[in-house]
Formats: sequence, C-alpha cells, structure tokens
Amino acid sequence: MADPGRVKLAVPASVRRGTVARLRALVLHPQERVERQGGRSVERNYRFVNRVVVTYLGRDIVELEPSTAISENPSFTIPFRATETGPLKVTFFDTHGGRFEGTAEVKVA
Amino acid sequence: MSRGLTRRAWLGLATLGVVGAGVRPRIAAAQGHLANLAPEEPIAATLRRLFADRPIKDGAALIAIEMPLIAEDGGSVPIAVEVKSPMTPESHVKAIYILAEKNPRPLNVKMSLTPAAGQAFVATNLRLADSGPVRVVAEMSDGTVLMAAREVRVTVAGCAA
Repeated sequence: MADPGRVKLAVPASVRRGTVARLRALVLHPQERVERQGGRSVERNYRFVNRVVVTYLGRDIVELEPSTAISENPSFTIPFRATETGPLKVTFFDTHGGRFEGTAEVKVA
Repeated sequence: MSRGLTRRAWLGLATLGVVGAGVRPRIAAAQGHLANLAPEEPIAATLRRLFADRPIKDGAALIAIEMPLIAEDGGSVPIAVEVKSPMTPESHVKAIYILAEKNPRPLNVKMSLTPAAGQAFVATNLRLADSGPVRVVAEMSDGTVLMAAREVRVTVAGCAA
C-alpha cells in the first residue's frame, strides 16, 4: 500500500450558509481483518481504524467506531450543516496507536 | 530449580499487583486483541448487548438503505444510509449502527451524531461474510430504537471479521 496513513478529504468548493453538505473522508490503511484457523479466531493485536472523529469549527459533530468489518482503506461520507467558513477536521485512530489527520477548509457563501 | 525470587519476594510482588493482571497493561497501542473486539455472536446477542430490553421498532418508513442487490466482492460492499430526522437538539438521531447478520462479529460500524451534522446520513464500504440481511439500527434522541434491513447476495465472501 502506497503511503499508509495518508488522509484524503473532499468537500464541495463552496456551500450555501445553513445548508447541509457532505464530506468524504478516506484513509489509506490495511484495516486488518481477523484471521481464522480451524474455525477459530487467531489471537494477536490486529491493526485497524477503530475510531474516527470529525470536528467542524473546533466542535465534534460526528464520531465513528468502525470494526474489522469495514473495508480496507476505510472511507466515510459524513454530513455537516455549513454555518461558517472554517476548518473541517477528520482524525482517524487505529489500534496500534496510529493517528492520522486531515483538514479541509469549508467556504460558506 | 533456581531461587531467583524467594517466597517472600513473590508475596511482595503479588501484593503490589505485579503478578497476574499487572503484567498485561492495557495501553492505547494494543487495542486490536480479540478481547477488545466485539465477541463472536449471533446478531440477536449483539442487539441485546447494545439495546438490552428496549423494544426495537420497525423503522422501514424512516430508514433508507442503499446497497447493491448482488455484491460481487464481499470485501467491499458500498452502503449508504439515511434516517429521516429534523436533526434539531430536541429531535435528532443519536446513533446509527450497521450490522451484517451473517458476519461472525455482526457490528460493522457505529456512528454517533450531533444535531450539527444537519442530517443523519453515512456512506461507507462493508465487509460481508455471506449472503444475508444487512440491518441498520437508528437510536433516536427520545430513546426510540428503529431498525430496517436489506437483503444482499454476496458472490465472493469478504472473510469479514
């Protein structure tokens, strides 16, 4: 995987004040699945994104708790109500202590 | 047998909590062990664990699930969920759960929302172990729990979690 931990965000170029827009957030990450042997799960410290926090203008608006049953390179489309021009930040946390961040600037017209 | 530690020393360590639980500290960087994952269980047990005895009502009128009827690759099945809600502080969707009935660990993802989201929507890609229903549960701010489902046929299993 090229450049694991890279975060890509997509927001509309400009949003009308008060309307709801959608953010697409993706992180390059293996999102390991649980291995099975003889019908039983193999014990080890699986590496996957288990928490995603989305903040807009410094306030938490959405939080996600993905499991290993989310596909590799997890991506989420998340709504937000555009009230002011400012930063929309997404932080992905994984089970090995990894923390991957991305920020997009929301332009409110 | 070597006598590296006397009986007295062992007792001392035990009282300090070094022996036993103390040797396995739970640090933030080791959350991926099976003990920290949701248990392998049927979906009924997951629903009971999440919502206890709260009644789960039919949410088909309020929950829209967009998914392909046939998923060629169970390793990545797109889903989009929208729950109709005014998303005001008085009345909003608090959480959306996506569960795959045929996965050994049914909960794919939990999303917690605030009214600032403006809409109760989420889209992502799921791993599905087998053909079967994908269920979406919405927990409303007044405590109501609603559920809807979509049947998906999986051609190649995603060996999901």
